[in-house]
Order: sequence, then structure tokens, then C-alpha cells
Amino acid sequence: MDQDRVVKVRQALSRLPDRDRLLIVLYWDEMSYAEMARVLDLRVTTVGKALSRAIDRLAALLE
Amino acid sequence: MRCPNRTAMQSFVDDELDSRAADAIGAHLAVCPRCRDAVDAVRRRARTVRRSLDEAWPVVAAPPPAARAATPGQRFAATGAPRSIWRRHLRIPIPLLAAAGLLIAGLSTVIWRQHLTLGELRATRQPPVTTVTIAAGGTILQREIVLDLSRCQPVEDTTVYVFREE
Repeated sequence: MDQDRVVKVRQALSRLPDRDRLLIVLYWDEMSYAEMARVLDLRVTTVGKALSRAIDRLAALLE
Repeated sequence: MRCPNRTAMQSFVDDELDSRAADAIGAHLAVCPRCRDAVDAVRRRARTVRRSLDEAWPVVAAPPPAARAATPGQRFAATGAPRSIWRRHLRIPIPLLAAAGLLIAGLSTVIWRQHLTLGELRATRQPPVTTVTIAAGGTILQREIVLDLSRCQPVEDTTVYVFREE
């Protein structure tokens, strides 16, 4: 990965809302939805919805 | 079955559905090319996100074999870092800033952040976590996740110094 891309990824992640960034990082670590729900004190269904949105937001920033 | 929504597709891709729901979506995908394409796109997006983060925050130093994560996927579980559950770190400028703050504003607030590795995060029982930042530029805690519980400035691209709690 070239340095521009590294910077872009880091900036994109930092631009996400706090909860989105958290979800993405925990997802990156391959945490289960149940684990994320426990760590973030959310319902599992909320994790699913919020994570989908977070991934879409980050993917859009990375395009 | 009706076409699954975006969230259901994500859960399907992540293998987070119970077998009945997953089977239903699988059966639907067999007959619905549009949804099949959409699920493929969800899968690609998830892969892109993970790969991008992998590349943006590469593992610099491999942990010693004994410290490697016992289960796959726990990227941060074994960093070779100290294993105390809760530690504190302080950005280097903050003591100076704090001292200046004390003089100027008379405030006694010293900004501390608590942080832990994701492996430790799994083990701890201290939800909810409010924010997360990644210590990207440092070598001491490279690949360690910094949980900014006080909603201070992000600590990205800064070196993180750890002070063990006595």
C-alpha cells in the first residue's frame, strides 16, 4: 500500500463518528456482534444496524 | 422470502444469523440474482475495510510465539505489551499543558486516558467504551488500541507512553 493510501485510510477512520470508528475497529479485530454489544453496551440488533452503516460510511470515504 | 435488507445481508456475510435465518437468505440468494450481487458487494466492502486497516496499521513487530493469540482473528490480543488490565498513558505534551492550565486557569484537570489492548478489552467488564483511537505513530504501543474515555483529542499519530498503575 502506498503512503497516500495509508494516510487516506487513517484519515477516513478518524472522520467517522466515535461509535462507527469503534465498531469498525472491533470488526477489524473480528469480534462477534455479541462481543461488540457487550463492550459497547448496545443491543446485538443495534450492533448489526450500526455496523452496516459504519462499513458503508468508511467504504464511501475510501473510494 | 422477501429480499433481505442491508443489515441482514451484513449479518449473513458475517455469519451472525441463526441457521434458520441464514438458510432462508441462502435459499433466497439462489433465486434472486439482484440480492446475490448485493451480498457479494457487502462481502467485498467488508473485505476492503479490513484489508485497508490491515495495511494502514501493519504489525511492526511480531509477538513472541508464546504470546500469540490463541484464536484466529484476534489481531490485537497478543502484542507483547504488558498485560495489566487497566493502565494509563499520558501524551508527552500534556504534563506541560496541564501545568500551564493550572497556572492560567487554575484548573486541576490533568487529562488521563485509560487504554487497553483489544485482547484486554475482551476480558474486561467495563462497558461502555465511548471512543477509540489508534496509536499509529508510536513504537511503544504500536497496534494498541487507545480507548479515550474522557473524550479528549484523538491520539492518532502520536507516540503513546505508558505509565503502569502502582
